[in-house]
Amino acid sequence: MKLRSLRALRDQKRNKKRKEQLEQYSKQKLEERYEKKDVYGTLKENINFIHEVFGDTSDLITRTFEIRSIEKIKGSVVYIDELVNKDITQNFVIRPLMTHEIYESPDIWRSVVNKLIEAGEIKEVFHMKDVIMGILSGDTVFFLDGVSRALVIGSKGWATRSVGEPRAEQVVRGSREGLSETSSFSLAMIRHRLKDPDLRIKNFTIGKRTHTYVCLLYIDGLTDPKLVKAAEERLNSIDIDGVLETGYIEEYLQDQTWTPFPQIQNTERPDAVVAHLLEGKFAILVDGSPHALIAPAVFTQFYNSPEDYYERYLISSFLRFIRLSSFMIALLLPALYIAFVSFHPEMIPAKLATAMAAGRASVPFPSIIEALLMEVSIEILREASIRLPGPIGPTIGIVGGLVVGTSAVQAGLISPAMVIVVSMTTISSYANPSYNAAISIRLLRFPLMIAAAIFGLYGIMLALMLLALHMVQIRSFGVPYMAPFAPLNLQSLRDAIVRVPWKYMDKRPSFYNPQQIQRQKGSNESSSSQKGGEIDEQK
Amino acid sequence: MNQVVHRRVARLMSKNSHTHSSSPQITRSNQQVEQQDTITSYQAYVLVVSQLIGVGILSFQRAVAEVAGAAGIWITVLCGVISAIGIYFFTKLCQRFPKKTLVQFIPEILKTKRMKWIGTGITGVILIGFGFYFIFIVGLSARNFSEATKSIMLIRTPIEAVIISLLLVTTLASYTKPVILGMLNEILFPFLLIPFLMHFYVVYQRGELVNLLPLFDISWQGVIYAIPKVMIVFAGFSIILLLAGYYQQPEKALTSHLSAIGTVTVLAVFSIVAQFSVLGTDEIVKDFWNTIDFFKEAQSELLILERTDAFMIALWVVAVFTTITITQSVLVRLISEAFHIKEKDTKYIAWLLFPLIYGIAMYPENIAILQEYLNNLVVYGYFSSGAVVLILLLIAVLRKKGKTKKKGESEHASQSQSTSS
Repeated sequence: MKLRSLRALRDQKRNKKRKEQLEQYSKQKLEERYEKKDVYGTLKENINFIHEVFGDTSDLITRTFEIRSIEKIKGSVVYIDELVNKDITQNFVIRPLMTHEIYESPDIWRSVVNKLIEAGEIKEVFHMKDVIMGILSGDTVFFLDGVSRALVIGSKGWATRSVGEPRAEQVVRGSREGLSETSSFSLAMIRHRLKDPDLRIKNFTIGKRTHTYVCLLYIDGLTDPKLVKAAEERLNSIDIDGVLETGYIEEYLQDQTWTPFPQIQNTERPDAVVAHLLEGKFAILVDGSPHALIAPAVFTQFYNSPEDYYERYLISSFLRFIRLSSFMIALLLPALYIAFVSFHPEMIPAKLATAMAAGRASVPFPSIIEALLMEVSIEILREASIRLPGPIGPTIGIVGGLVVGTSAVQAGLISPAMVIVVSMTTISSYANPSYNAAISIRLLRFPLMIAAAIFGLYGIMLALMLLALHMVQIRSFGVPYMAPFAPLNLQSLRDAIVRVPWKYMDKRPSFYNPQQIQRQKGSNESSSSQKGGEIDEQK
Repeated sequence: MNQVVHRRVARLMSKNSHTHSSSPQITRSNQQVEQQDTITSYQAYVLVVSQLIGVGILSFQRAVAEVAGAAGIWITVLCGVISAIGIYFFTKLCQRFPKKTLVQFIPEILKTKRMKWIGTGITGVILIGFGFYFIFIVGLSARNFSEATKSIMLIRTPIEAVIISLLLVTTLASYTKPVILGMLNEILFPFLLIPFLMHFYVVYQRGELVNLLPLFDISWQGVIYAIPKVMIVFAGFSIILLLAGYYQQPEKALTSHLSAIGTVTVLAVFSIVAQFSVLGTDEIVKDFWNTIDFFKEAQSELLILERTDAFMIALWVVAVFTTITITQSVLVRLISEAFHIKEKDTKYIAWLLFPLIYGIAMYPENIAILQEYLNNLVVYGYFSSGAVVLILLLIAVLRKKGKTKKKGESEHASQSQSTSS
């Protein structure tokens, strides 16, 4: 006994020691790289250090030359070949440095900074960390021998995709521009639409290895400061090695992890971003992703399209109604089919019941198996049609849907009614404007079908009660998910199921707690502060 | 001994929070935090209506028709008035102790200086009484509704499966915070009203005014017998004794409670008029689930469905679910507050109660006995809870416990509330 405990104690000690050693080693390694180093005094040391950090990467270009001065001091320019705009680096950094002569000034560094460099964005830095980050993000770095400072010259300019049309959120009427992978382009598109000096953009660098730029956008004096603070805190607490898409960030930001429902909206449209910002929400852009995250999000907003605000109110209200019914169909139709066929055939009108019974006469499976078979195969078909190369996709859709469906019915494997149910369900789920909400419905269909197979209509109702219970418990950044229905907010209902004319939407939705509730001059507003903003915000 | 100390601390804390919340210098941010976890006036209204409209309204028309005939219509109105008076006193009692639940204010009322066990003992008895009242409402309603579901929708499914599935769902819902409960009922409220809208359709097709006569053919003794039969609709608003402690604006509670009773009265009268006019009082006595038979009368040429009764029962799941969930949730909260159980541990209480509720639900041998139990529960529960509340209110007034109204202060408080909201 004693021996064993002694051994355990020894092991513990050993482990602790090893752990400490490891920690020390990694700390050393980190320091060795660049974390806490200052810029060296001599050029040689600086260049050597940078080469050490980057290894022998071939695209790192170091150009060393003599400044044309009395002392013939050496200077050096460092950049990564494919990340810089060569025009800026060659013509406005290297050429002036090599051609101009400096004789009169005693402080060469000053005159280089003040006179020679012809680029707009320059920054003097003292730490190696900033130097490395500058080089990695496409800036040109200039070192001067004998000066323990470095100059980071903005020369970003890598190959980008031109601004394209949003792929997933197409509208008939409205802007054709989609956000870009380069966050500065996206910001430009947003600034272009929202010429408000109160628009605040906060930068974060997330990802220990990718060092991805993440921008938090909000309107000062409109967005609830508590929301902004919460977003900042959550963004700062992210500790991950890489961020490649907004999806990484989304999962860290959301309030509730165990739910099929999305709590943060994403959009590709700059106009949608501006519209949401004006409602008092905040947006998050991630460099490298053409999507913007928008939070807080409520359930209704996943069934709204930006086009709702561009078309006339009657049409948009009608379209919203259609989308809501398609939501119900996508969620409930297969379950209702199972419930009616296996539990309550008396509820179907007599003629239809006979027709359905005739169709089902040769089907060897119970209705739940039939429905599950069809639903799963249509999901496979959907997934396959996304993977297939462009021109073949629709063909497979036709082959899968028409040919297989028809022959399955003819072979007596599936009843014709089931085919109608499945195709209605699939089409309905495509009517949803936001992809991530549509997926959650695709998932929820299956538990509902199982509930219907066990308890019929009663089972469906119980499952719906559970769903309602789950949905009222979700909060997105503290905003109840089912607002404005629960808690009921009559004012905000004007833009929930229907959309009233713009004239009557004089207030922003209050559940986001905007600091300025009035969005245009309403009937009961006394101050005349918003004359200019009125046109802007209606856009 | 330990418990007494606990309770005292809780009382002190709640007193502090009470003075803090009613003080006029309340900051905006503070209030918002509070608003997120409290029940709004509209939610209070919805909660009372949803609690009252439950399984009772499926079959009270038959019981009334048996005793009172067509006179049941105005007896229902009478019961509504009685309940309104009842809820007035309930609300007054709650309003004397804003932001406090019955677990906290009953000991405060009954506090005795000497021989503390008297006050504590009586409090315990009252709380246990309420606990049993609620648990019986939950169990018997679950059984009653499951019988209806079984006989109409799931003929071959054993009753145990129906009850267990219903209780599983309600138990899951019962340990949520009161604010979630309020929001849940807010969402479900419109669906609760659909069956009543469907009444219009049937009345339009089959209704005959002659069936409503003679309206006053009843003796006073008959009225006395009929009142308990109607009261099954209005039983259970005792939940406000606990929920009122979570209200955002306790001073507006009276309006929402009275309008809730008004709504339920209108709906009950409407349904009894509709069913008497379609089925007639002689025929309705022969139906057990008269509301379902009432819907069977509808010829749904316009609708997609051949028969509406199963569909109505499906919609009725909402009404029963809300009734049971609210009552069960109040029960769970009552127990966890009485024993000072932490918020995260309330779910264990809920699941511990599950077998007990199931046992109560399965206890009656058949539907007839179940109905008898329900009637007794309503009569004794309703009137004894009313009596207890009246006595408590009287003692509170006599001993000047709770909020003694100063006009200036209360007006000021309500003003600051209204401007901020």
